[in-house]
Amino acid sequence: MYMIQTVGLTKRFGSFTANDHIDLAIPEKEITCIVGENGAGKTTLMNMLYGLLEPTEGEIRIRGSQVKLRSPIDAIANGIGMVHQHFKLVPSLSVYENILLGAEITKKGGLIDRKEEIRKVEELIHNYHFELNPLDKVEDISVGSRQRVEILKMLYRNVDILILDEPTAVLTPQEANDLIDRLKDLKEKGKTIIVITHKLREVMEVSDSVVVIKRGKVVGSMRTKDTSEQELAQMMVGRDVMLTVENDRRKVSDGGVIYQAENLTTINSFGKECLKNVSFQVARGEILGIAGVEGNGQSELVKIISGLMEATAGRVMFDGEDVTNIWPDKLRQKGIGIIPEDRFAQGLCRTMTLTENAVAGYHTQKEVCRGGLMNTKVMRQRRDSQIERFDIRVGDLEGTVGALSGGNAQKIIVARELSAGPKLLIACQPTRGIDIGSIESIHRQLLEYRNQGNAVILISSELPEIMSLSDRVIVLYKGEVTGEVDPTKTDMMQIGLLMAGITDKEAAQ
Amino acid sequence: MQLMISILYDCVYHSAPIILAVLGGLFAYKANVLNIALEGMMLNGALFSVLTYYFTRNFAFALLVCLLTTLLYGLIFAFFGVTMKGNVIIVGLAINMMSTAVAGFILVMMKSSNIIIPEFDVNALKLNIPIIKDIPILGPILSGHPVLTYVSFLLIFLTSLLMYRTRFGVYVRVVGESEDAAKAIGLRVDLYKYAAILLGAVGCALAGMNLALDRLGLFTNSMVAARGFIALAAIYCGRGKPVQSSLYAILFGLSRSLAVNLSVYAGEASGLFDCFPYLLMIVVLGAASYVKYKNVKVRGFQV
Repeated sequence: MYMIQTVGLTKRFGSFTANDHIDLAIPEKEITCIVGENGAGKTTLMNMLYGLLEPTEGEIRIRGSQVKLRSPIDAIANGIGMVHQHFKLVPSLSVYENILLGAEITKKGGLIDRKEEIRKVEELIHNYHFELNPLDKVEDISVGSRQRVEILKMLYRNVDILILDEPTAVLTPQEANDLIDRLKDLKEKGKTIIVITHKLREVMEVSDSVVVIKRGKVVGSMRTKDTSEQELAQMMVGRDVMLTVENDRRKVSDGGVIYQAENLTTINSFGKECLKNVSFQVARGEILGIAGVEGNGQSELVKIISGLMEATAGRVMFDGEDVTNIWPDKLRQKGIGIIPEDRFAQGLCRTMTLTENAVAGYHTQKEVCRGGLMNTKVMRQRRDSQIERFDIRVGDLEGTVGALSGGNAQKIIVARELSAGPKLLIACQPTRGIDIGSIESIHRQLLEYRNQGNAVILISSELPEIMSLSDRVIVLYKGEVTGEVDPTKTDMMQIGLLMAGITDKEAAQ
Repeated sequence: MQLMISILYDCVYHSAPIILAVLGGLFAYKANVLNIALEGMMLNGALFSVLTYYFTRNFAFALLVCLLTTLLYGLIFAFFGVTMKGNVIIVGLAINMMSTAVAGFILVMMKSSNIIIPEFDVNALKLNIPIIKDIPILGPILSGHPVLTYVSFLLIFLTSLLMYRTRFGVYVRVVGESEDAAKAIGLRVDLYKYAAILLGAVGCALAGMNLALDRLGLFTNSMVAARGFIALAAIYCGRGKPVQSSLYAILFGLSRSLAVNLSVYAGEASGLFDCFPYLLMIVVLGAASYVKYKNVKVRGFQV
C-alpha cells in the first residue's frame, strides 16, 4: 500500500514550471529519498505535500484517498510532518515550548500549564531515546539538537509520515550518522519517512527506494539496492559527472608564508567571545581549508579577514604589511580577492547590471573611474572578458544580476575577483546552493589559481569540498581552532571529531 | 517634604497615561509591528472621551465611544500596514495627522479652541482608598487618583500574565520573533498582528481618556504632547517587557512631574523645564541604543 501518491502534480510560478506532472508513490513504513540538483524542484514538491504551496494541477492522495492541503495544519491533521532545512524554531523559547508550540496545554482559566508541558515533553524525549533537556533555550543548543527538537515537534503531533528537507546539510558526519540511525529506528516504529537530499552517500545508506528529480520532472524511480551513486549522479545531472575534482596537489612553489593571522578574537552582539585566539598561516601556492559546523565562528572569521567585522584582539599580516581591521576596498587594493559568504548580500547587487557588478569593489581604480565618472567602455570590456574567460551563461548582457541563476551569479563574483589578479583569495562557501556544472567549474578555477602559485583560504560547510581541494585543513569549534589535518592522510570521521570539539588528546584518553 | 510628596504624587499622576499607552503598544512591538500611531490614537481617545461626555454626561458611554473610535484607527492602521503591507511609518504618520485634523475640525465646528466640560469636578473623580490614604507620606502619594490611574498600574501585572502565561501571548511573541515558525504551525500571522495593534488602540484610548477626561475634564488639540512617542520610547527601552517598559514610563512620568513642580521656582525660565521629559527621552534612548550596539563588531549594514 502506498502512503502518499501524487498524480500529475504540477506547480507553476508564472511562466516557470517548478514541478511538471510529478507522479510519486511512497511506500508505507519505508524510507524514500528524493534526490536532485539544487533548483530541481524537490523543495517545491515537498512544500505542496505539506500544504505550504497550492498545486496548480494534479492531486495528492494520502492512504489512497484524495486530499486538499491548504495549510500545514491540514497536513499535520493528515499525519504529515515536515522538518525544514532552515529550522522553524523560536530561538528565545525553550525546547519544550517549541515542541508544544501551537499545541499548548492550558489549565482552566487559560493559563499555560508549564509543569504538565515539561512532563509531557520529558516523556516524549524518553520514548524516542533522544538526548535533550526540555528546559534549555533553543538559541543555546547545537544545530544537531535543534534538528531533534524539530523532529520531536512533529512526533508529538502523532504524524506517521515525516518529511525531512536536506537534514544533514548542517550536521557533522557523526551527527549525520546518528540521524540516519534515528531515522531507521523511526521506520522500525512504523513511520514512513521521506528524505530530500543531494548527498548520494546518505541516500545509499538510509533509503529503501529513491526518486530522482531533474528540472521539475521525475527522471528515475527505483529500489536503492538496484542502483549506485554513480548512476544516481548521472541521472541527476544528465551526463557523466566526476564526483570529485582531480587535484594533483603538486607543490607549486615553496614561496613561503604570505598571510598570517595571529590570535584573532572578536565578540558577538551579546558580548560573548565568538572567536578566540584563532591563528593560522597560508603559504603561496597553497589552499588552506577552514572546516567546521556552521555557527562555530567561520562566519565571523571570514567577516574579519574580509574587512566586514572588527577583531577585538589579534593581528593579520599580509605580504609583510599589517592589514588588521582595514576595510574591504583597501584589502582589494593590496591584492586580496574576496568571495563573500552570501553572494547576494555581500558579493553582488541584485538590482544592478552585470556591467556594474563586474567592477564592484574595484570601482575606485583609475581606469574604471576618473574624476568621479565611471568609464563604461572599460567596464563593458571587463564584463565581456570575464564572461568569456569563465564561461558564464548570460541571457542579456545589459541585464541585471538578479536575472542570473545562482551558479552564474556566483561565477560573476569568482570571475571578478580572479581577474583582478590578487595574490590571495578568500573563498567563502564558493559553491553553496549552485548546480553541479558550476561547482565543477569553480573548483577547477580555484585549483588553477592555486597552481599559478597563489594562496587561497577556503571556508566551506561542505566537508567533501574542503577535503578534495585543500592542501591543509584547520577545524573550528566554538570559535577556536581544534586542530590541523592533512586531507590526504585523514578521513571524514577524524575531521568530524574535531568539528564536534573532540581533539586528539581527548580521544586518546 | 511637601514638595517631595507633591512630586511623587504627580509622578504617579503623569505616569498613568504613558503606562496605559505602553501596555497597549508593547503587543505590536512584540509582534514586530512598529506602531508610531500611538500618538494619534491617544489624541483620539482624549478627544472622543471628552466630546462624548460633554454631550451625554455619561462616563460609560464616553468610554464606549472613545474605545470604538480608537479601535477604528487601529483597524485602519492594521488594514493598510498588515493586510496591504504598506509602510507602517507612513501609515502611522497618516493616522497621527488624521486624528489631529479630525480634532481640529471638531474644534472649529464647536467654535472654540478647546472643549471644557462645564461644572466638571475633577476632584469628585478621585478615589480615596481606605486604610492606604491614612498611611503617612505614602497615603497622599498613592491615594486620591482617578480610577484609570489605578487600572493602569494593575494592568502592568495583567499584561505580564497575558504576555507570558497564555497561548495568545506566546503566539504574539512567536509571530514577532519568527514568522516562519508561526506559519509552520499554521498560525494566522496577520490575525495576531491585528490583535496586537488593536490592543494598542485600546491602551491608547484609555490613555487618552485618562489624560483628558479623568484628570482635567477638558480637551485641547495639543494636549497629548508627544506622550505617544514617549510611550514608544519606553517600549523600546524596556524591549517590550511589560514591567521594564512600565518602569521607563514611570521614569518619564517622574521627569514630567519634576518639570511641573520645579518650574514653580524657576520664574521666567520655567518654560525651559517643559523640555525636561523630551531631553530625558533622547538621553535614555541614546543610552539604550549605545548599550544595545556597543558589542556589535560587524561593519556596515548588518546588525
